[in-house]
Amino acid sequence: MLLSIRDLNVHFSTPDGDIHAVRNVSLDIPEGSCLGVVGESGSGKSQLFLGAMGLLSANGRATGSVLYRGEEILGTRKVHALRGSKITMIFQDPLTSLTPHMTIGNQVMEALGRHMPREEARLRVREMLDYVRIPEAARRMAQYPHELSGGMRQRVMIAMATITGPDLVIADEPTTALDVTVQAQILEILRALKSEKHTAMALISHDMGVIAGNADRVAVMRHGEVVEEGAVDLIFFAPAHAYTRMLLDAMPRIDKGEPNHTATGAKLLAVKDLQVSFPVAQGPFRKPKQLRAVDGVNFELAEGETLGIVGESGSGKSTIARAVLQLLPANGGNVVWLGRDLSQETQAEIRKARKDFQIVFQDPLASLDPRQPVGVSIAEPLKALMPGLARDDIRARVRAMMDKVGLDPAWINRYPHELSGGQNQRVGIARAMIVEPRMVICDEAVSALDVSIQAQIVALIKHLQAQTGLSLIFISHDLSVVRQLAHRVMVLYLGRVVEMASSAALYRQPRHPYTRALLSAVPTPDPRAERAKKRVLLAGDPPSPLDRRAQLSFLKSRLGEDNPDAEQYRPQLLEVEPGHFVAEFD
Amino acid sequence: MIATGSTLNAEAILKGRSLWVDARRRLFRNRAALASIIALGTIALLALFAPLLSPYAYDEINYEIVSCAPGWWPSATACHAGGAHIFGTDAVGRDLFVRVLYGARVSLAVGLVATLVSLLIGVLYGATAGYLGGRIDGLMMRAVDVLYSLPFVFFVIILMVVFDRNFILLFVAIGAVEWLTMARIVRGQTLSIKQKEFIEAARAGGVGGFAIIRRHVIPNVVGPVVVYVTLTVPGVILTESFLSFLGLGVQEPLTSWGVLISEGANSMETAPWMLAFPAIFMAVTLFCFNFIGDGLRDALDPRDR
Repeated sequence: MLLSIRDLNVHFSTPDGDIHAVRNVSLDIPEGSCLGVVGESGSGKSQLFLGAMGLLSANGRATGSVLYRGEEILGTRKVHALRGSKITMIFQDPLTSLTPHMTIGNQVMEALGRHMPREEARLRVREMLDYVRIPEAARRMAQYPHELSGGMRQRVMIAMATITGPDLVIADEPTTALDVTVQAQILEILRALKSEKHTAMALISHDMGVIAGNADRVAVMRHGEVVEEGAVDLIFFAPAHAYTRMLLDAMPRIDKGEPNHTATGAKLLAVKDLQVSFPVAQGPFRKPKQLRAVDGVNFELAEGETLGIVGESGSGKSTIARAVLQLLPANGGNVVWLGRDLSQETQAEIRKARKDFQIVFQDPLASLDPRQPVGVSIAEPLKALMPGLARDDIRARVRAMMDKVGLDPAWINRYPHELSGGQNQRVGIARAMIVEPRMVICDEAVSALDVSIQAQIVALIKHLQAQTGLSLIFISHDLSVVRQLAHRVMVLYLGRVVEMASSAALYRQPRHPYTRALLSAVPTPDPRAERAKKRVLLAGDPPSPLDRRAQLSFLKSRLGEDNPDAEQYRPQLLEVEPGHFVAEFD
Repeated sequence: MIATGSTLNAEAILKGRSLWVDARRRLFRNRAALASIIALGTIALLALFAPLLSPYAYDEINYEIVSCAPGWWPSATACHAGGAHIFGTDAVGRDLFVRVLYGARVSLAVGLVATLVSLLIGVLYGATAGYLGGRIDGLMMRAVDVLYSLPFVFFVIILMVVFDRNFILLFVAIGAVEWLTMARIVRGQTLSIKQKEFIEAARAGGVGGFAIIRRHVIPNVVGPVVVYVTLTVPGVILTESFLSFLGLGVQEPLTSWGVLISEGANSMETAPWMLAFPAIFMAVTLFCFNFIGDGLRDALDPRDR
């Protein structure tokens, strides 16, 4: 047995008392196998391994036994020698795990940690960077972490973690901060590491899909305890514990789901050729370049309809939300709300119109003023948009709304930090719904939540829509969540629409290569399907949105002048079937 | 999730909690802050009722009892024959106790009023500049830079010459300089708060610009502002003593802590009490302000309880 953890307990002493973060956990990792550890936030899955490796914060303390090849290492000096050579770790955020002022090459070389001639070390580093598929490895070695994209940085982290030839790599949420297509690339590298170098792995994740495709055995954690442990197929196909079943049921599935029927109400919103760009400084004496965050987007929204907008980071989906809501000035195009062109109206008129369209934000805690009780936050749009309501009336409405979104009205005076993430998101929804809007934009409204909470919030949104006939624009990077809600789906790539179709058609028959890659990159909580899956991987990094050629990534044949600043042909949307639009591609 | 709500009674739950009511409750739970409030209140009361506490007048010169050491009881010695001088006397025979308390009046008044002036102007100016941003922000902050570059003493002398020497002017002059730093601090904080999602949420909720500054920006810059205020009060008290030293501040026979300390420093080898007593009062006051400042900062942050 490579690593055996026996009766491990982790305690933290805090001013509020002792916190028992990990309770009597026993796990085994055999040589060359992958143990998946899955659990929601606060389940103690990260602290388990930090405790075993002697990396707890100063107020933490680990007791029990950790055996490496039969030798006790917990709390001994041996663990320091093993860490970074035979047992290495990869963390979630590759930017904070890399030193900002050291070149990539030097950092990986430092991880090598052994004295050898500089030339030989450089060669080893280059080989390793090649191995994790960093293009132009020689040039990258002289670069600094901020010059690399998130995916490339995570590859560097993997290179650092594997260059010493470890027996065990502990990967703590290694892909959580990355886009799905990049996540697929990183997981591919980790799989290769296991099969080619026979490295054992502990893969910690909240995502059942990621676990399904990679782990041999799975441990499910909750409140610091392992509630169930077993072979991956058993956990997924015959879960014994109720919590495991609940987690699996709560996972949104991209491969299943009843189609949402297309709503056919009156037209509420029409967005025509919307353009938003931001100036990007190029140095003190150079003209700033224009970053086209949204570059000619058209869509309509009917009464009672849900439009899903999906895309990876930098695709412009949040910018569209803000431009539609007139929170950001558009550089061109029109936003027509019930026949009124909002881009022509004054600020005062727009403020009055806000009663009809509201927004729910991604981070429930950041979108609530930390110094206001939640009742005040919910009442705020009411006071601003319906002046003249009596105090008692406002209070009554706030309480009624809280009840509707599943919050105890007695919590009206609680502060956001006293509520959980899911409860705060309910506050955010209550704030958006209290003025009885006709359209709500949900900007990644469930992305920051645990899967079980996510499922509840999605159910709440559906319920509210059924009750009030509300129109929704549901923005998410997570295609499986969008599938559960949307009637129609629009796929964005670098500020332009690449495909737009009814939800049923898009998920059943994606046409554009980008949509296909995106759909195939989403991991499903089904180990057999994951093993059998043929992945459509996109090569390399997503291109820079400042590069005008990037638009033609899927239509290389129309590439004009090969210069990042030259104007290029823009792929046009073609209607391949009634209601199914696809951008041109090769 | 912390179930702090359960500590509140049912009535409070129904009536709504305000930031300020909560803050007061939390401030009074902080022992250092509470002790400081009591100490500061005592000093303020002493200063207010100074004439009633002592049989001597602050400007009563008596050349027979020059530089007397403190004595608690009337005695046969020349110094305390006419009654005890509990803090001793100064170089011209004035009772130091009553002078320290009169000095407290001037120092505390200048410290508080000038700080309040700087707080009011600085917070409004800084929050407006930071929230509006762009060109307006640039213009407003360049104006601050220009004022910064004026030599302070020169500025005070001009004020004194133009408007005649006046006690009120002292407040104005000091306040007019101190708000500049306050405005910069508040602007910086506002710039970072403006990026927060809850500001965008308020805009999406139809809340107007000034209401956002008042309801969301200012309460959230309170932490650094309060800390800076508690640093400003001592700073202002010191500035006043510097001006008085130059002959631009309070004039003899009226006095302030700054003046007393600079006089005491001159004779600290022969009559250490002349330095010690005003210095102790000043130090205690500054400590109190610092503890109250820390307490207020914690009390005004609902996350920290």
